[in-house]
Amino acid sequence: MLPRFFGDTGRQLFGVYHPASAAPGVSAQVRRTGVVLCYPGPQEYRQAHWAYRRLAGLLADGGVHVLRFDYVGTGDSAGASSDGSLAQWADDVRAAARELQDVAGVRRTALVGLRLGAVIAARACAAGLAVSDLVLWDPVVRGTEYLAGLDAEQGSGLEDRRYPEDDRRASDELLGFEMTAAMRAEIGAVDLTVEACGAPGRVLVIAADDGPEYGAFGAALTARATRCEVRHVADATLARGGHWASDTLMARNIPGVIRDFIARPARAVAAGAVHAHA
Amino acid sequence: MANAPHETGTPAASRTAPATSSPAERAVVFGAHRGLVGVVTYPTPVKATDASAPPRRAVVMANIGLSHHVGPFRLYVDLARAVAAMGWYALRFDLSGLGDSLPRSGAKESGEQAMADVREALDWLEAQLGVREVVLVGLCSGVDSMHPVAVADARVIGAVFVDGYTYPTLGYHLRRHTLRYLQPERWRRFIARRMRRRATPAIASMPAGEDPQQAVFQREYPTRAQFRAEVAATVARGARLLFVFTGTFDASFNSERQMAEVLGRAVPRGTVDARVFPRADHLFSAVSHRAAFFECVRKWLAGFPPAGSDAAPIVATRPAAVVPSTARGAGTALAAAVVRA
Repeated sequence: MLPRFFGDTGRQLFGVYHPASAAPGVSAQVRRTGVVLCYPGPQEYRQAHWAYRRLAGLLADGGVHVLRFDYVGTGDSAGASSDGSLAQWADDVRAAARELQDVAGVRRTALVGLRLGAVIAARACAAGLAVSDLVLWDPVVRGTEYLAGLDAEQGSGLEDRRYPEDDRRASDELLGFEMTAAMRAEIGAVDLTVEACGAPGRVLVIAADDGPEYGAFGAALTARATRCEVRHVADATLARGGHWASDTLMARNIPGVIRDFIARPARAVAAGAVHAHA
Repeated sequence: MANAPHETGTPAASRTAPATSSPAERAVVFGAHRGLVGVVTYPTPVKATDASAPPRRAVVMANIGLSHHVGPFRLYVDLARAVAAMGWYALRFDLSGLGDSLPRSGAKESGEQAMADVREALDWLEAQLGVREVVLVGLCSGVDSMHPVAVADARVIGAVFVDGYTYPTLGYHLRRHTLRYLQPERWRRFIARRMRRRATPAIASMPAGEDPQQAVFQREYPTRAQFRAEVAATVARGARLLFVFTGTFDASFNSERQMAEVLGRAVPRGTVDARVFPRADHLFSAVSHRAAFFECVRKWLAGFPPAGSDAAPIVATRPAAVVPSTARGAGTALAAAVVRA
């Protein structure tokens, strides 16, 4: 596990590189693949950090090079919390992919994006990043629904506060972080069912439940003849509660599903959504 | 020195600031097991390569439970950058086995292990950056590992403890059980809260076992006598202490006067400072509350005399009144309360 800053001067990104272990029986395809983990948005970042540390470690133990990193204005990376934008963060994903290629010498890049991180990973693809595998874990399919969920969470949190009447957050603040009008508009416009995801070699959607948004997304991918697979993962309630680092998810499901997907021959995933249950 | 320190990222001499824009930061790995991970923020107004550059002082922060070294809501990132703008180094890092740090092998009790981690952070700062004076920042359970080091390590010239140890006093009981019922504002809030909960029954109160106000009594505190003696010993060697409490802890700390009541005559007046942010929650989740906290810490740090000088430290007078009703106002009040002794 090697922490490091990388990227352009004045806009340095913090990342932790997990080199692949020399695990036996790892295919050449996996060894050539580097995985970039894309965090969720700031409001869900804290819950995801430990999950990503565990996921990165388990993938590295399985012979995969992994880089997890913070976008500009989040975590340890440069910038204030108000500096972020989806466009900026998609650029950061591209910088992270370059960094992993340089450090690990990998030729293939896979992106794993959780929640809003899935949108950012898809945007990086759409912006031209060559990606062999795009893994979208609990993706935010529609930005309006995502924002409504965060707004509701903030509302219920404030209701239970001691000083709710004068503790209302500023209009540009959401669950403790700045949420500028520009950022809100940008997220509100997200709709993965209609927007381009670039040309990833194949797409894996890991869905915590069988919510209708995932079905719509899978249908959209099918219509675009993208090689994709939608997987419903057990213990959905754990994932929905934000406990992405739960022992169950980590031990049984997520790392194995991702590793197996990366290891499969390129054509083993058919064009069109295949619903499978893990 | 048990440490085998090294820095990661772009190569740079250990005593020079990296050639990046402000603020310059560097990922570091240190500790006897080379498993402690942190980020150093370099002082921005001071060129680290300048031999005449003053004070090699640092603010040190460790993760809080599962919230890694970034801190809740980036509290530690923003605080690090704020103090760097004042000419201080800052190190935020994860205790072993938490956040980004690796676990240690061996069977040390977790409290001892955390203290060893903090000491190794100080060793690293001294060995790599020549920092021999540090201020520790601890929040809630983070105080448990910072307090003993503050007491025992002469490199610690100050500490900021947020929602740390506190003990009920006679004044506390009077304020809690008598005076509060005479305040119309409290009654208004109480009624408003009850009506709101009645209107929205789905929003339940926090279970007793998860109530942070209860949790404070469940932590393992030093005895009051021990706490007094340790604080007295710490300030006797010239260190300064700032005790900060948020509104979340008002069931156990309800006035800035309370710390003086706890410490009694064991600690001379004016050698420790206490601040209450009554509107802030435990993790300073509101942007304005964080800004007020940073301002409080900045003003308090500004009270340290220049490094190497024999000048008496600038200490805070005992607060004359309870902090105003908003955290922003509290920051302003602090400025007025800090004077040269």
